[in-house]
Amino acid sequence: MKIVFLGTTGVQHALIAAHIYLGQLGVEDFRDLEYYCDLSQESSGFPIFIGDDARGNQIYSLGVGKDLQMGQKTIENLLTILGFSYQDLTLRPVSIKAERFLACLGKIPRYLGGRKINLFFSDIILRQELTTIKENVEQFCN
Amino acid sequence: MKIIYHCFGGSHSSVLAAALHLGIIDKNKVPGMSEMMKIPYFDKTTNADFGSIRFMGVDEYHNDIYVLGKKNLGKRYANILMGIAEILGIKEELLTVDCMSRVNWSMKIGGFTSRRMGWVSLGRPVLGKGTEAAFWDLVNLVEITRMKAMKKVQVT
Repeated sequence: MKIVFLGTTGVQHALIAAHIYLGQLGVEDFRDLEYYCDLSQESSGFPIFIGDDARGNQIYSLGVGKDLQMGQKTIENLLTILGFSYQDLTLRPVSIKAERFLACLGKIPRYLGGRKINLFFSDIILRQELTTIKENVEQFCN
Repeated sequence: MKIIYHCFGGSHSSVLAAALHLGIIDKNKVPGMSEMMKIPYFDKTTNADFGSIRFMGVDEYHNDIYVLGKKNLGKRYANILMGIAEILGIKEELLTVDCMSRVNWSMKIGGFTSRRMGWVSLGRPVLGKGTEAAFWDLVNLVEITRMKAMKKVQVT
């Protein structure tokens, strides 16, 4: 089965949630995580493979833009028309307070220092929201 | 194969393209507003329809044709759909078509006024003019899509 952690972006809170789920978030320096705030990866729109869990499920992180609910609805519709069910692919939306702001941060151009600004604010916001992200993951696990 | 035409609201350009693909309207003649209004979903969607993949019909090659409104999420949204299909191992069974490149300003303003503002009597004539102007571009897009679909079927 595939498990996709869904966020407004796939390289911030959804990425962290996927790593927490896999038990891979030992230290809390997010910058050590592969693809963290990686805008080129995010702009591609493709799911990011994070790893396999103990049950052999493939874990992904995916960003769907500012409207998380709409993204979730579209993917659920797509699964239905392609003949798949939640047993083949499960969506696990990860929602935090500043998720729309995080999605907007990625739009700041590089020449205006977009990458540094993105990393700076993402670190602060995600550190503050880490408890919420962990609670999100715990809800899925129960 | 599943072919998904998508645009901002899933109400005008994508619906018209899907109708052209299915032969619901004649591709050789610019349709009038009354003819366009007979197309399912044309200028009839609501905000709740954003993100819903809606079935339009089956073409002569047994491809299922759908429409989708994705707001202003651009080409990335198509990649999200293709990415999901790819990790499920059925990338070849899906084709997404972005209709936004064929949408002109009259369609945008008319569509926004009619659907988002709810001023149908004001927006619809503007939309009609815009759709007439974009018609041949949409015909071209559909023809390209049909070729792509045929190629994809031949490859797999």
